[in-house]
Amino acid sequence: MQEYRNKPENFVEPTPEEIKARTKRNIALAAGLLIFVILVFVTMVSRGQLPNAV
Amino acid sequence: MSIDTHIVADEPVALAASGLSLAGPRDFFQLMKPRVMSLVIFTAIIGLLVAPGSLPLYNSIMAIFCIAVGAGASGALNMWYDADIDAQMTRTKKRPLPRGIMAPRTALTFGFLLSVVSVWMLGLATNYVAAGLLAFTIFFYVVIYTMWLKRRTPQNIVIGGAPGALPPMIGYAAVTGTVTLDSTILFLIIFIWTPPHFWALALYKLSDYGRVGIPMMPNVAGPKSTRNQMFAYSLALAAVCAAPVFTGLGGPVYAFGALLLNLGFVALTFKVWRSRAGEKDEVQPESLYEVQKGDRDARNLFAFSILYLFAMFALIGVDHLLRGSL
Repeated sequence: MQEYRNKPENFVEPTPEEIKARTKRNIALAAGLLIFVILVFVTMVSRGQLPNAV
Repeated sequence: MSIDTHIVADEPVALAASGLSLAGPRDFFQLMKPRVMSLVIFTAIIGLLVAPGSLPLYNSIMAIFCIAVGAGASGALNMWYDADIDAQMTRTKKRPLPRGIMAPRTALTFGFLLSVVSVWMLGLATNYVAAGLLAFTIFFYVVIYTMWLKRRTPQNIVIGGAPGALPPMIGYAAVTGTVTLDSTILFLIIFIWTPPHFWALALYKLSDYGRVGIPMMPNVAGPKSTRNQMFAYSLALAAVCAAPVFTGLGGPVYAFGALLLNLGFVALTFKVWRSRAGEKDEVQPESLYEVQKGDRDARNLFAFSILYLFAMFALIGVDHLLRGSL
């Protein structure tokens, strides 16, 4: 099967600092998405836009 | 209208060989200009507080949150577009993009996503008039001010002051769903306050703006003309601040406090008007509040003007609460 993605030619091992920064970004992104979903849900409930909501 | 062709998004950035950036959540928060955001939050809360009618607590918190995020988003988009000049100015060279720890495209995506989310969420939590005003604020700040006016005209911050003045109007509209005379007065207080506030800074950071080719009023019209205009604006501001007393937005507590604050503002601007602030063109100190001899009056006005705006809006809020409890 044809692989269309670019393959890295010169892979450079990330430094521990870079990996640490990436982990922090990923955690922040996950937290942000979770908060966003909760806020949308609560907001829709508060506006009565979810007819079957409690 | 023609927009600058300068685009920073595709320029290479000095990321590490691995291609991973060192930017952490704190750097993304920095993109949102937290210091500006604090003023936006405060004025929006006052707009929301003094508006006739009420909004449930959760929706009020959401409204303030969305306005803050929208302001942060426009800050991030501003930093994306202005990364080239930020790198050359002492006041801004430590921002995440000039430091090279983040790709410009990342800042663009971050700002764009937050813009869309904040406007949509504000519409969902309150009403679409407030959401429309927030969208207009972001558009005006990024396109009209940052891309169009900032590098072209010394009136940049006069017209560009509008988005900074809109948050209390958005807070007000979040409750009422409309724009009224009172919310326009709240807008005008910040709008008229902006030129003397920024020009005070520009007077003692003159070479910084001149070096990067930003046509601030002191560079183009000269320090003397700028000081004249600042004094005229301070008088206009005092007149606008009297308006709430006549419309009922402000009561006696407001009237007394506003009188004192405006006397202070006019007096400090008068001192700047009589000074020779901005008339030296030497290398200027790095810190925001460090000044050369002669520019002290401009620095004092700049510092006071921040306190002034917080105090004015606090007065409007306190006066409203006091009258409500009587």
